[in-house]
Amino acid sequence: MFILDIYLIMIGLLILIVGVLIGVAYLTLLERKVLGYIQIRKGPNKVGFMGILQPFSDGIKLFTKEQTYPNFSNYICYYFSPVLSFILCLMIWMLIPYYFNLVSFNLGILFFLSCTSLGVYTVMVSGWSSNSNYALLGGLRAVAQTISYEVSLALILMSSIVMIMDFNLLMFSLYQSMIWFIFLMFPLGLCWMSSSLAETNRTPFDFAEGESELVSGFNVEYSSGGFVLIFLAEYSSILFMSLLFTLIYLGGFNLSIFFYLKLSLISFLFVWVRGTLPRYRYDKLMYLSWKSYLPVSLNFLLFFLGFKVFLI
Amino acid sequence: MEAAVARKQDLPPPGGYKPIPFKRVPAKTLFSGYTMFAGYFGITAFAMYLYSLNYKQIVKDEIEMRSAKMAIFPMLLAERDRAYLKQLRKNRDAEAELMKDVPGWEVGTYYGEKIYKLLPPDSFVDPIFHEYYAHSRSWEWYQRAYLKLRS
Amino acid sequence: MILMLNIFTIIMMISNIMMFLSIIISKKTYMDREKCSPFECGFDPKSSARIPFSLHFFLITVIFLIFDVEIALIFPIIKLFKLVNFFLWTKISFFFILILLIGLYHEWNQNMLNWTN
Repeated sequence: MFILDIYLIMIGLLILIVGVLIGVAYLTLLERKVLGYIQIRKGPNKVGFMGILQPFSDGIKLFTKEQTYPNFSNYICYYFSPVLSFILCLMIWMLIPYYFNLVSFNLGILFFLSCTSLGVYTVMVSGWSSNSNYALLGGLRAVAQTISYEVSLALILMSSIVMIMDFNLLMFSLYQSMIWFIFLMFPLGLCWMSSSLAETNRTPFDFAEGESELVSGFNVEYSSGGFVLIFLAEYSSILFMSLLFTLIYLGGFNLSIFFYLKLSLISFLFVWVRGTLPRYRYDKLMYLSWKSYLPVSLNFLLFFLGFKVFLI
Repeated sequence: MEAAVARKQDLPPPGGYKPIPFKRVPAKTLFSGYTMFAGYFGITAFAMYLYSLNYKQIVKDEIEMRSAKMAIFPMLLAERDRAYLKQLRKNRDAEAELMKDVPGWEVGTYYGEKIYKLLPPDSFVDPIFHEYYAHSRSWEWYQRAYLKLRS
Repeated sequence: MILMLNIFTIIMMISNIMMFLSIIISKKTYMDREKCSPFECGFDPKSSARIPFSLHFFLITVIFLIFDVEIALIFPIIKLFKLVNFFLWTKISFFFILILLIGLYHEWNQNMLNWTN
């Protein structure tokens, strides 16, 4: 009985991983098309039927590129940190709230927080071990940014956890059956959105890989395989962040098709923000995290604790 | 030679280009600040009301679930005890079947000697875990022993 | 637990295989001095990359450490909600978050959060 269950779970796991990878591939295609139309040009539209096969050809091209061995790098760290970041991003996807057949966490939010905070190490190690000035600067910036947004991310998450009083991600849909939490805590939803933009190093806050100043930030020295893994990890964390936003603030009943529509809408929002907004300034980024999001989320946490106490 | 090919030079359209709009076009303000604050507070208050309704419903459901569990709990306990005793009986029968050729062996004792000498003769002693699974397959023992790890 | 370990093993295998495969099927690999040196725009790197970095990053990390420990202390409040005395729970959680908030304002007041000075 147990063995059959485990076989089923493993098949589900493989399907989930393949689904995540294909989703990431088409997220990149979506990003290129949307950026193209934002900049009044057509995106990729030749490979396959109207560019459908573009991500796969990109992937094959990237995999057959040359792998570099930087002379001054600490090669073991350099080799394994993209692998580790990819492992972490796939482990986060175990949290996807199914009612059966996969791991259903009782303490899912703690698992999410621990995985995201481990993600800092991979960026730091890949920036440090490349032993290039650009990579080191990008890694330092990414660490400081991700760390300070993680505090506000956890505290914003706290007030929605206080509303459901559980760490189980499945409970969100139960408590939002009448009203979405985005209406209940609108400013916190916006704070969460921009914190997750900063957490995944996306465009208004992409100081880890600012092309104009550091050529590509912490992943300058990476070529084929390592770059693919870093890239996949980043985009799958974008998808997961949008899943979490949908789950926490936009209803989150994950058996309906609208859940996935909302998910893709939010990940479109990530791309849209990239096409629209210019880069922020670094000190302003720090001020935004420590001086606005942190006090705001703490005050809202106090308020929602009071509301919860009032309801009893 | 060169004059044979009629060339057309790129020139501005007749009448010149249209004037470039320098003037800043600010975004339309649909709501004033006060309206937005009022709308925010109104929506949040309404959402809090709906949330409280939902919360009361959830608490009611939890209470109902808990009372259902409490109602069924004696039944589950009785079933568990019954299964336990049936397994003990199976163990005794298996032991009797296994040791039937040994002369002087009594089931539950060591050649007629009691295991617990100081206890009264009809007192019940829970068998330890390994003894309980002594006559079952090793896979069942394994499943039960590592249940926590497997779940 | 064993299930999580199984899943972790499978995922680790998949990602290691991807990395290893990309090394194997790389089309051209030849060693070149310029290619193997760290990336700079057209010249050799003059200074080592392991330079002492700005202290701000370190200070931000220290502040982060404090707040992260406090977040880790907040999380049990959620699980304690259904377990402990309600009045005590309310008092403890409110005072805890108030102390956290006042600590944040204190650090703000002491100019610890300033990036440039």
